[in-house]
Amino acid sequence: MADLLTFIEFSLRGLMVGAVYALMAMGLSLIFGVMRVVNVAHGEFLMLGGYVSFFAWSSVQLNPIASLFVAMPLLFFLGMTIQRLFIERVVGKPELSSLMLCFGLSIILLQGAQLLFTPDPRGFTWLLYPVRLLGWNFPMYMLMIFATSMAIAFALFLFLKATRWGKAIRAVSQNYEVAQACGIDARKVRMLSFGCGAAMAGAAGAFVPVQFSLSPGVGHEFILKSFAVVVVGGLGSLWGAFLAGLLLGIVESLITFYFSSHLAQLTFYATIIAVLLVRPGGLFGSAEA
Amino acid sequence: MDRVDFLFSPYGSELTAAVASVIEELGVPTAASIVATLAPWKGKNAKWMTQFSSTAPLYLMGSVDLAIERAEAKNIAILYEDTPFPIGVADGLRARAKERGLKIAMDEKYDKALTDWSPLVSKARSLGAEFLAGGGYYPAAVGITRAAAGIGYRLKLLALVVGAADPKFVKDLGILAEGVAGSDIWLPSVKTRGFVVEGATIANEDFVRSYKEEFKRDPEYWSAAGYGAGQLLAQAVNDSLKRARKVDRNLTRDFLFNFSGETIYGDYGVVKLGQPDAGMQVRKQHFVIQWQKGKKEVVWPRELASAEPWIGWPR
Repeated sequence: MADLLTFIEFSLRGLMVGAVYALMAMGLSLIFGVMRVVNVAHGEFLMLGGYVSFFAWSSVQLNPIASLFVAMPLLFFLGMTIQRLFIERVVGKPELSSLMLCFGLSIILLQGAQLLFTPDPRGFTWLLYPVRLLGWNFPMYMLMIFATSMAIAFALFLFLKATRWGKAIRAVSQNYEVAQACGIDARKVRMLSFGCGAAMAGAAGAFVPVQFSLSPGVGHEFILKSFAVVVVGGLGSLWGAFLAGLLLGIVESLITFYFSSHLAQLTFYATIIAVLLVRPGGLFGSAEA
Repeated sequence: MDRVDFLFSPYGSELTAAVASVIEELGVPTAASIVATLAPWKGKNAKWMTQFSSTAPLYLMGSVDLAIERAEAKNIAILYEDTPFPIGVADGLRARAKERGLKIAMDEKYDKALTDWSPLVSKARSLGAEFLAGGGYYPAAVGITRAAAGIGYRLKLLALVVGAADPKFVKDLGILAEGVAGSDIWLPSVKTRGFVVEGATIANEDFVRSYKEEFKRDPEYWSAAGYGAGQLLAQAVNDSLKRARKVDRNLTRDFLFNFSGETIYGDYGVVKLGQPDAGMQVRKQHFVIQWQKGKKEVVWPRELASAEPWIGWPR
């Protein structure tokens, strides 16, 4: 019985960490689904979201949830600008072109952050006290981050399902030519999608200074996990990215507790290979975003 | 390399280990300023590079004595990053715990890419560990402290390298940093004499004052280590000039391996040339520090303590 309770406790903990992975991966998946661009610079969007949150806290004591109202719009407009100025030029070109471009952007953003913010690790403490929930102690900030991440994820689903622009994004991701033939401005849709993807990364990043530690290179730790999540979830599948993100959190937490953190990393990346071999489209893969 | 008389080393164990073989092959005198791992020297019969800083196993050894003698802890959980320096720190903790009869409740390394420490910290708690020690670099010190606080873990002592000694630690964690112990190899307040250069002694306090004037902030240990290694190399070059009227690599190297004394960074003395562990630091000592009311206090060893240790975390 005690073993089962421990299993449930660490599954729940993993679920909470996984919510941040899910947000990040959903942004990446959205961009890939619409543009077929593997955005290697996505980790840097997360890093920038983290700095917005950190400076909002250190200058005006704005908590990470409130700072989302600054971080997400900022990253949204930055994403749209980058898409319009750079990414748009390589859409439809061989995948290597967009990969190299994003890689270059990633280096520029990383080095720019090193210059602007210094490589010093940053962070702050917010709601760091245990709360009793279902018989277990959870840090309050983790519960808040989980609830907010879920709300953002479902808001994105709702946006894609119920709004005109959301439907346009889904249409472009499903069939670009048909969407254009129906009068959808694919260029605007791509710009909007990239902005939304960047905003999702920015939202995940806003929690980094509270949950982890923020430095210009922090995006690299998350981008690998995000790629893994997107592949396991299914390239371009938002639901897949969402569920696989939560799954990654759970797997990571359980294996770290029962075995070791090394095995947790190994298992997850081994799962990617297994998924690609058995089900190349991912566990929840489909063409739609 | 023909025109190079000596080298300043890179920062950290991994990079220094990577350049050690090149330094030895090319024969350039080097005082490795920030490297705590023993790997570049242990059994290597080094001839050109000496270890200026202290060795990793010494970092938290004092905290074991503190945990036993003052906190009356009955067991320890050793939790450390799987990279050379933290592995060395854990080796020291393990050896001291065994030597002093402290039960090891948990001994686990974690992946460098780990971002959530709560499963491991929870495991330490479920095993009943009263003293949690180890860590890695800054993110780990913050992450482990947060994870422990997040699950309401109460410890007799929490001692972490190297981030817990960073002034940012108390800034980032506030009240949670209170009572967390760490290790410091150097402190601005420590009285060291340094070398006599051009007829004047540049002691630690002179270095701290000059640094503050120049950079408008307190120096950290890495700045002091760099400056101290510079003092040592300058003295080695002076010695060579005095003896041969030129900067001779062999004479400079001999000075680095034979000198035993003090820089602003503290004691320096290495295993002599010709020994299997030649160049390995043997004199540099560590302090156990603890955050108390936002101030870093030396709490161990007793004779150098600036305050009584606080037992119990969180405060």
